Amino acid sequence: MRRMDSMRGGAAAALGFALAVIAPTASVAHSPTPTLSSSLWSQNQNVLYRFRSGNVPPTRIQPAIHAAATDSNGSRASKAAIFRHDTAGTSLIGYGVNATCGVNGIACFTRSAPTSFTMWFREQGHVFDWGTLRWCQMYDSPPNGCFDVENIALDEFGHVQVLGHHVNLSNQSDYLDSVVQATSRTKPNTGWNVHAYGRCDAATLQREYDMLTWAAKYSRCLDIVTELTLSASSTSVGYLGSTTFTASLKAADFASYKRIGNNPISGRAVTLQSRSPSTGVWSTVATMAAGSASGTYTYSAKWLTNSMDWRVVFTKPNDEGLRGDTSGTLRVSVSPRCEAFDGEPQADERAQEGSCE
Amino acid sequence: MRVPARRVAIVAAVIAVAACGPAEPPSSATATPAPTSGASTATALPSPPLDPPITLDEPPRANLLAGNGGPVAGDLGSYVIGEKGSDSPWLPGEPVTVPADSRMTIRLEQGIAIGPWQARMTEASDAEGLNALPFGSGAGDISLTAPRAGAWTLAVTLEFAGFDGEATYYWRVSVEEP
Repeated sequence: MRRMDSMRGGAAAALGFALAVIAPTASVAHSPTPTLSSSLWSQNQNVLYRFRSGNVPPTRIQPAIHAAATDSNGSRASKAAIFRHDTAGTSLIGYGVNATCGVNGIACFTRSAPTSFTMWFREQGHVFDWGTLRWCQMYDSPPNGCFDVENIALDEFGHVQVLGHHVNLSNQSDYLDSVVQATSRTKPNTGWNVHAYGRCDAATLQREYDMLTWAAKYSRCLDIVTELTLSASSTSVGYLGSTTFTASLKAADFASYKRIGNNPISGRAVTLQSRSPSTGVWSTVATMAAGSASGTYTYSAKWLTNSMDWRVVFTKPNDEGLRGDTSGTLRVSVSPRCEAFDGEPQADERAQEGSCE
Repeated sequence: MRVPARRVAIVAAVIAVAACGPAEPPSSATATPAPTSGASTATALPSPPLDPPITLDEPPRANLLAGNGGPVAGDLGSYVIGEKGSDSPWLPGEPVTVPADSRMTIRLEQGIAIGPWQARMTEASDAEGLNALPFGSGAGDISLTAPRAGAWTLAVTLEFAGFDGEATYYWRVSVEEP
């Protein structure tokens, strides 16, 4: 699964490169961060960690690791795991010369969802072939070239969630779309001290773990197809009659959408429009109110005098990764006004009942 | 949906290569001289699948071969394999000297086939790879043309075909004058 997702990232990167050549002004879509596994934590699972006995991080490092856990919890934008420090935790975070991070790694992880994880950080001053490791938190005035523990730890927590390394665009312009990067950066380079998941990290977490609420915003790294439908309590009413429209907005149910497929989408602006069958010109009637069921919107149209076509419109938002959609057309037929007999006041009442008899 | 996405990647890469020819810096990246003669060739021939599948505990070594030199294993950077992984900064790379215009091929040890890959290159003095430029992409065997004479860092991120894993390898490529 991770591999295929990564291919999709590669697809976007390659496509982005092609687009940059062919159509420089085109907006290039980003891809969600790949997954590295199919094993997940339970939704909103509390995952408790503690520091590894004998390999406890220095007191200058510990708060940054806790802060990274808080960063993860605060920016997961989904029902991904919640990390908490607990002295009884079964997941272990270690620091020091025993770190099992390979030859060049400054930090590393293992995961065994939904049971536990491990995380390691190399010790301050570790000498690599490429240089000497410096953690910014170990200095009162962090020098250029140091690594921010909080940023690196958030990267590791992202892996622990399920995230692989983000596939950046060829020009790296989307580096800030993910903290789960294959190339960790030092102060003061762009992204060195980011303390929240990027939008493409959140996108994958939303897809894998689902949204926190039906009204929550979808990551702008996503491009979710929506489906908007319209129904009416009655499609044939008398003169001056009424009907209640109900719109339903949801995410399309593609397999690739995983947990967000078919989600009801609440709290958005859904607009009701009408047109005369003879003119064909749509005009906005109202923004619909929230319905009783998730993802539904309602509006009661009263004193109807003419048969009209109706539809609802959801315009693509600028602040989230949803596509717009327009429902099919629904015709509501209205009986003609009854002919009054010498000013008979009951004529309209008879019409509302659907009969001019 | 995903299979077409892979096709898109390959097709787009081919379009990009066809449209660009040799890798050139985008107009916005003027600070770094491009490896102007470093045309990259994406060989889209997938390697044969492994049989039987085995489990990778660590990333295999990746060897670069060029000219008459022996294989030079790249420096292993960040990687993920299955349920574990490690994070590294941009690495200076394992030194290797190659003749100008020579072919550089990259193979994995242990008979591991290469899946999708992307290569990036920058001047060796670019310590964090901030100015690295695309130097080719594809799926399967990797074959690149050496850039113009100079000192470069080559980074190749590749997936292990048949395994859940990917890694980035680095070489410090010294290209001799022709």
